[in-house]
Amino acid sequence: MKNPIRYALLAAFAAQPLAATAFTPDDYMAWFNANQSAQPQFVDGDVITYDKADLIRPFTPAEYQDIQIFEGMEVKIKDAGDLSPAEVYQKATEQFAGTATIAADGALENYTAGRPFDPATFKPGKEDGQKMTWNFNFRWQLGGLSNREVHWVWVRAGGEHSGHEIMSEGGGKYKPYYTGGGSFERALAGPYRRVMFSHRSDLPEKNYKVNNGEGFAKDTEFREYTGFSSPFDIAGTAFLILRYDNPRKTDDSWAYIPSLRRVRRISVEVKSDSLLGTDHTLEDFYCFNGRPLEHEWEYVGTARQLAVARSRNSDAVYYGPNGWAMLDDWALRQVDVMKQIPKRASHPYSLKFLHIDRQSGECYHANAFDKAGQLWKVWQLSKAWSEDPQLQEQVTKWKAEVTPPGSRVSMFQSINVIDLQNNRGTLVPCRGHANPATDLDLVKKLLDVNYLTEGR
Amino acid sequence: MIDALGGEVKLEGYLSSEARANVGNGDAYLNQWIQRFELNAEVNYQDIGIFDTLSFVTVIRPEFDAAYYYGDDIGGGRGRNGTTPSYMGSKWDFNSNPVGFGGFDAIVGGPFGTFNTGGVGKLILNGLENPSFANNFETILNRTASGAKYDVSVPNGSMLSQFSPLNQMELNCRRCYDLDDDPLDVAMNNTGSSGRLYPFRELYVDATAGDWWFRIGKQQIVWGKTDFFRLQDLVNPVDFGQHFFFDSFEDIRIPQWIASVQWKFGNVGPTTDNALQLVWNFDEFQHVGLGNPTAGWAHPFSKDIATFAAFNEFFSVEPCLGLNLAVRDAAAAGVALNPDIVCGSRGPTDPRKPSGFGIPAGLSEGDNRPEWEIENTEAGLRWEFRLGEFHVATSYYYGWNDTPIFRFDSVLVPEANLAPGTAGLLGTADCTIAGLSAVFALPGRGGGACTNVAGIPAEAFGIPTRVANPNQAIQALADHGVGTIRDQLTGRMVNVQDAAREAIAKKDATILYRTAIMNGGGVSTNYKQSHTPGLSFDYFEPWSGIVFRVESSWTFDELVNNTRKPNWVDTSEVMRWSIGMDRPTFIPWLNKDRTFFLSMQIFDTWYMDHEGDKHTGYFQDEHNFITTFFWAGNYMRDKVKPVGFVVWEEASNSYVFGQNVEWFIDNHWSIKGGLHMIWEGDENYRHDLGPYTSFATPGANGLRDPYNNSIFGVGREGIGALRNNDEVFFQLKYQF
Repeated sequence: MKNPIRYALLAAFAAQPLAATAFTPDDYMAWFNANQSAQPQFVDGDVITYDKADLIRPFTPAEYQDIQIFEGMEVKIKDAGDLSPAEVYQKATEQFAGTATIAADGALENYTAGRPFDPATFKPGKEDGQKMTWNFNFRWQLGGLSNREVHWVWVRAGGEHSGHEIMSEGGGKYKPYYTGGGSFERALAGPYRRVMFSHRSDLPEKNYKVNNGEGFAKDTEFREYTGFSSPFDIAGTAFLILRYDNPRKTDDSWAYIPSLRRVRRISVEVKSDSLLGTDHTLEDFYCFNGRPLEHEWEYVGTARQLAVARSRNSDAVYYGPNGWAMLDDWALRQVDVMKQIPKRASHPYSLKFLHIDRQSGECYHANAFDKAGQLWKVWQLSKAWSEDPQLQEQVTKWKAEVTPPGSRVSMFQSINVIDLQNNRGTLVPCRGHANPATDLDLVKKLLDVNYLTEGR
Repeated sequence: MIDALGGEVKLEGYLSSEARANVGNGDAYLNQWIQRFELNAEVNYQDIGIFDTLSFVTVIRPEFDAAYYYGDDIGGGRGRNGTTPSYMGSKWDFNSNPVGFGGFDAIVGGPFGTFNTGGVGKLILNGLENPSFANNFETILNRTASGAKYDVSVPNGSMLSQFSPLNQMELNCRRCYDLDDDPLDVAMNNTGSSGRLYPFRELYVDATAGDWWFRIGKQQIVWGKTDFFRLQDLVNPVDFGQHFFFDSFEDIRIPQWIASVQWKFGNVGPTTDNALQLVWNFDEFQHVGLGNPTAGWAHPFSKDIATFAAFNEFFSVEPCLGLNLAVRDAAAAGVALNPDIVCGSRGPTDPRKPSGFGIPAGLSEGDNRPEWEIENTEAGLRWEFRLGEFHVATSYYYGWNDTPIFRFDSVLVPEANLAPGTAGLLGTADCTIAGLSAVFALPGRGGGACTNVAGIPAEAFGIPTRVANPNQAIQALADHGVGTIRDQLTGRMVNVQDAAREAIAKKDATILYRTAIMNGGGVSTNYKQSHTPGLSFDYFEPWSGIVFRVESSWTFDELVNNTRKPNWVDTSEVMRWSIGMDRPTFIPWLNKDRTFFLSMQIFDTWYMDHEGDKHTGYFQDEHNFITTFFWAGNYMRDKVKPVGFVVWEEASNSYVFGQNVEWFIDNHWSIKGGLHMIWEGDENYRHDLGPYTSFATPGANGLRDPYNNSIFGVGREGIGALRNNDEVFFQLKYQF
């Protein structure tokens, strides 16, 4: 511990009173501004408990503090170490440095691979906000994320969930992960797969594109499949999104509706709508999964944040009075903060702040404000590191695809969102996660729109 | 999902109990109370031989409609042993259905019992049935003049009301299904429309190998992009007799034995995501389900078919007399009793009934659905691809039109209207027996008119009749017709020969039929194979956020009913098209968290060879527009789902409104409640009676209105034909 008097003073600035209905973007910025001068008063290996909670307030976004801080909390401080992307990505960044440009409408042009812009040069404002979002968009993901089984657990503050069937399912195999309180209302499950087709730093010999950008990969940035296998009333529902490499081109999106047994084209509105009643939207995946040009962006600056950047666990472990806090190692990371302002008047959010790891490019935290400017939702994302030995469990236990050794990719372990206005949340642990190399024959089977009809 | 049987086994399904109460028929009653169990089971394997995946899948769905099976107790006297009229009917008696009940009593304007035989009521008169036998039928097609509701107490004009069974009875209808079902089978939905292998709704093997996808077995194949209606979605018929179109097609589509192969071949030229699917429906042909006529949601056409089957059962047979009347009449006439005219005198299989007229009537030829033969199986292909912003599906299907078409195989021509000596040139001789009595055997008392017809006893008061092909009949009357007859539409007397010739010249059989010259005829239901190419695409318009769906199909030479044709059968090119617009829309003042799914569709069925007017020819208009509006919302994290719709049929100006709310209490339990309301349209219930015009009762002007409550009257009413089946419903469900 270092200088307890100083940290107490800083914490006083950082600890904004959080009444969800009164928390505005200004309140968030107050925390952000206080964070700028904060100095950590903890060291690696410290376990922060409730009585020392003020130590972490400067590095815990104000809107997340009530989730993170509670009697019985255990926040273990653990440096995440070097999370720099794979060498191929760094090499591409270096090779194509300075070539990418931003068009007047915010579209990314002349981009090939690697990180498009150097965040060290960013200044607060819209111009670098656009650059920041493209950096995030083209962060290092190798071939894209694969999840064998994603749980979507609807949790409500208060109560407990020991009697919920998810605790006994499969002989209780999920029980160790859902500790703490909170009542579970409903749980959905299903697979997820995203495949990146363009700007692949790992494919320089193929012009940085899968299959040289021909055939199935033509003009495609990524394809994304989100499926649901239970409960019965939604089993078989699946979404497929095709993001074009042309940033100005609208996504193509389809949904397979089991009760119709057919594929339905879906509107862009669906992407900002609650996903089957969860607190997530398709656009909220990864913190932000929409089209950059459908929003305005502002670069806010950098901050230091405690994040689950390199989980010690094979799978996400929840705890706390409402079961929506993360029991894990927390690393202090430098994050770039950007502000997303939807252009569409019908979009449910007025704005959203995102925290992006400067080194890995991954998002750890986001918040969204409703149209009245009141805080609505808070996201927390836990990451696992591809080179850690515990990741092997994903293969043996959850039948994950294999992430190639040396991939150096920050992997997706969970994304959890709390709706502070309604005192509820959706926990989304991702089991069987991997960032596998791309086998075009395999991904064609899953990510072809016609595959959707091959469901029941 | 568990590891078993060497693969992954998945078991899921539900148990539900749904009660549907009719509130549109004057007195609320429990119309259906369906207990349903559905089990979806599959075993999945990876990398088996040449296959990447191999699955064995079944959907088992037994069910039981308690309101039907115990309907006499809990269904307001309806269902299996029902004796209370359904949504389409009213109490059946001589007043509400004079011809059906009393036969020629009504035609000659006499009271019930004027004749001993002819008409189903004569089974009672002759002592073969108790008076309560009348409770087994209801009078249908008996609209009031306003068309508002069936009510025999409201005086109406000229009419041809008919009767339909209220409970299960054996009706003589060759190869008809959904008709003579066992009551338990009706209650369990194990009818012809359930397909074979009940309760296995689906049973198939599914496999993938590279870009190939195979599926063979009993299954559903779904093509097309529209909701509620089928344009390209032709592979499986749909059972509208379960619950009209209110249930998901998933639940009412009739699974068929089908082999399907799909090949995904990626990009070709400007197209991407190409897939070609070939299907072979090798199942025995199955037409759309219309429901057992006694079921709670029996389609009006099902009751039509039951009516015609009942005609065949009760009217086609030769008449006979109960022993009581036979003895009485013989004694009164002072003649010796001819024992042969007594019912049952020809042994235990004596087919005769006192209700009979001894002529082909109703569905005398039954259902001419095709037998299973290789050339009667159906096949089609679909090519789906993306082209720029458009997701396109083209299809071609060669199969049977799955809606039954009525055809007059014969009409009954009175010999009196043919020139002497020419009757023998037409068809076969028969006798329309108005009544049977020993009295008629006396000289000068009417009997003997048909003694030239083999087997017709002297005790028969009959009308010598030629049973003839409709085209030949009209031609014969044009060539050899004699006498004058009243045009029942205009009231003018016309020369028979002139009317027949005009009908031929103008290719409009109604000109002759509306003179009521024919005494009905025998019909059958028929089907035809047709080629149907289809095209659909969808497009997302980014500025408006609307997804546009367009679907069309073109059926060549589709079999249709056209009452201007002598046999009522015609073919037409039929183009069907629809435009749908979907938009998930945030309505913050209703729900700030979640969009409402709003969808609007416009359909047109365009009969390109259409002929006719409001009361003759096709019972459909040339263009039949239907507009639908659908909305769905979600509250409480999608645990509470209000869903509603409105359907408007332009031709009949009728509406259907539905609204329900489902509450998913947790992952297992849910409850749902809602209502369905149907509104009739404008005066739209009358259509051509054709050869049955002679059986309409005269109106105040003494004329038999040839445009009447009839089989196609309910066709003209469209969705409004079910107007009195408004319902509220409640469902409890446990899913696993």
